[in-house]
Amino acid sequence: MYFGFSEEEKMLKKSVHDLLKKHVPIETVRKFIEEPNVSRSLQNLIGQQGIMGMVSREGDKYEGILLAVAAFEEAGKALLPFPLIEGVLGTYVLSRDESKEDLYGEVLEGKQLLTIAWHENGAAKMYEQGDGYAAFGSFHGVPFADDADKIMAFFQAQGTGMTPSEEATLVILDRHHPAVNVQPLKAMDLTMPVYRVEVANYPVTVADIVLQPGDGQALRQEMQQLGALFASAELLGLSDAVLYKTVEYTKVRKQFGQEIGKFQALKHMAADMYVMLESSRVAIIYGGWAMEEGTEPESVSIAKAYASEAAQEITGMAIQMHGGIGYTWESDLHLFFKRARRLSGAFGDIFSHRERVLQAVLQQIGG
Amino acid sequence: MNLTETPEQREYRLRAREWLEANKPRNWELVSENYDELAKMLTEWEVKLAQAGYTGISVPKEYGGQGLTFMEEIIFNEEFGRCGAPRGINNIGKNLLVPTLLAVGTEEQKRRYIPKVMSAEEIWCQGYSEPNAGSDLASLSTRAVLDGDEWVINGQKIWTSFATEAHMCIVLARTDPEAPKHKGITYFLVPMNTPGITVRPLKQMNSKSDFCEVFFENVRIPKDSYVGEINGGWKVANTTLTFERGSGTLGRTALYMRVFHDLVKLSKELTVASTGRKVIEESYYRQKLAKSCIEFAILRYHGLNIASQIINNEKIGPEASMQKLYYSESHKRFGELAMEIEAEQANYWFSSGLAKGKMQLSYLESRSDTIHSGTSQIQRNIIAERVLGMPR
Repeated sequence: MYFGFSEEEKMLKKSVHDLLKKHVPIETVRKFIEEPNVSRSLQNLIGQQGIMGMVSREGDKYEGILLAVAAFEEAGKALLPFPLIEGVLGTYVLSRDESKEDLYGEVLEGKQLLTIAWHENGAAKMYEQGDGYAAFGSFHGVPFADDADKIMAFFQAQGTGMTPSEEATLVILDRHHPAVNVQPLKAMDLTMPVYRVEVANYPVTVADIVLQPGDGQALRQEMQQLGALFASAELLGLSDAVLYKTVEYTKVRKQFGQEIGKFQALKHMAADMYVMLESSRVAIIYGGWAMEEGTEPESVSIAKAYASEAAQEITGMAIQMHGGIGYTWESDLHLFFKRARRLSGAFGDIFSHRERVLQAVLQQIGG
Repeated sequence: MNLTETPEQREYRLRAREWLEANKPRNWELVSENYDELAKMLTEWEVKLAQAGYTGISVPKEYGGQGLTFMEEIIFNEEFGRCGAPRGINNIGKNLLVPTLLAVGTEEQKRRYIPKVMSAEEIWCQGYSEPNAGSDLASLSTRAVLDGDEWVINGQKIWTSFATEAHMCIVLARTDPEAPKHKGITYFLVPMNTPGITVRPLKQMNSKSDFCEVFFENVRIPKDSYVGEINGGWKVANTTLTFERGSGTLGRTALYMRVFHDLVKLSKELTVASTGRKVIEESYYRQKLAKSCIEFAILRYHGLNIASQIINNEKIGPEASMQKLYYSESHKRFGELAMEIEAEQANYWFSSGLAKGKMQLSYLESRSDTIHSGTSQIQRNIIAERVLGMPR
């Protein structure tokens, strides 16, 4: 019996940690916020490390989920301004479709930037036209859409099934096609620029479809499940960074003639943050293990619901413990606080994951 | 990460489950109202467990244990919690004395004391806290003075569970009043029939009186009745804390989960007066139940984590404080939720209560969880200072 990361996972975690510490320090993140484009060098860097191609699947079981979890924890710590969840999930679904081998390789190596449009404004549909389809849809919150080369989106292929879920189809769009219009949105979380994407009469060919028309629903569920776990790992990482940063601050900041860390009120806040942090950690590792084993799917919801609440609490308490300086733009805390807020709502919010946990309980006890 | 059981471990689990289901005490929740009946029942239960080979599972055979591994120990603990049976009466003997003697006792002490815990012949109680030494346990003032070949003990202990039934007591007493408080305490083993010991049961808010006050008045015990070194008792007392937490968490989680499932079943039956819908149909309660379930599930992961550290010989440090803080606080929230769900029926307990008053006991007893073995506030201090390194 062994609970925790394997040696291989620990090694990868350390190498991602070192890489991001060297190439993406907080100053770089700050610079990115002023000029929010993915620098080609960052894209190359992630490509060279092969960080995106870790997850694969055999039947009900996955490989490499805990490797990815380890990497996402580090990405969260560094506030990595890169669509890494989209990159990992995108390459994973491409790897399941042999005809997408070329694109898979290019995304993996950092030659093409891939993002995913998760949120439709109403249904996105595509209609048969010639050998392919004409696609129409409006999406919000598409990360890094302006910089992207390819945008993955779900459309309902009209006439291929009886229900919207039977029609769901995953399509790869060329961001630079004139039928794709990208407009920036003002978002609180500045480490993840998001866009509104309008698709009007986009010509979809068979080659643009991942697997088959109608496979989109199953792919989407799988991507949501993986995404929820990876978002949890990012939440864990950013909570970890914030807690230790805050503890250090309490050791140097003085009031009433002593380090504020000596005050029990602050010690107890820090202790509660630590408990939440470590509870998120075991939940995420367990969730990753359960996914690899193809068992207890609700454990991902347990991790996501808990880590989402914990990260919002931890980053909020960190601001409080810093006092006035914690409320300034100059302090980095708000970057963590806002990223925690965004990720808490991503891939299912706390409400929906709790509901899923309860449904699993009801099933277990019969009824 | 590897949490898959071997076929042998699986079989051990299933056999334990079957045995517990067939042999566990029935209706003990109702018995627990009466102290004498409760003590009698728990003593019989302890003997039954011992005879079936479910005491001292990982204790070496030469001392009367089962000689199995820590893995079987935690599997049994988990099944024990799952079946919902009460703990036996000799918890202190099994979980405090035996691991301590195995770690720091002399060979003679191991041979003298451990087999009788294994056979449930000798029941132990714990004399740690005092009226004026609670959270600040190290400031205890019970004195032990060497007089010829005997120690003479004077003082008072409190919160000593089942002292009326116990044959032996672990007593922490001050042997050097001049030394710094942690360095003048010795860990004694005291027979409860020694002249000068008086026991007075103390009724708790859950209506049970398993706690007692124990008074020591010129109690004379032989010179060699201590464990470890003279004035080294604080260290001895701390040896087993991590072991107790490590092996106990999974059992505790299984028990909480069982009670949680009972609450879900109640929620399917009870109607919310103001809406006319079942509790389980209300999103408000579904969310709260799910939150509680999530907390207990994570408690299980913590339990697996610490068990893995013990099995793989990794060091367990003050992180154990985190588990104590986590389980006690989540248990408290669970008790509050159970009362909220039972609504106007929450005021009834024992035979008048829903589910035999089980939820009321959870609710009330969770109030002691955040106090005993180091209050939540003490655990937070430990985490802040020893784990996070915040200044004292």
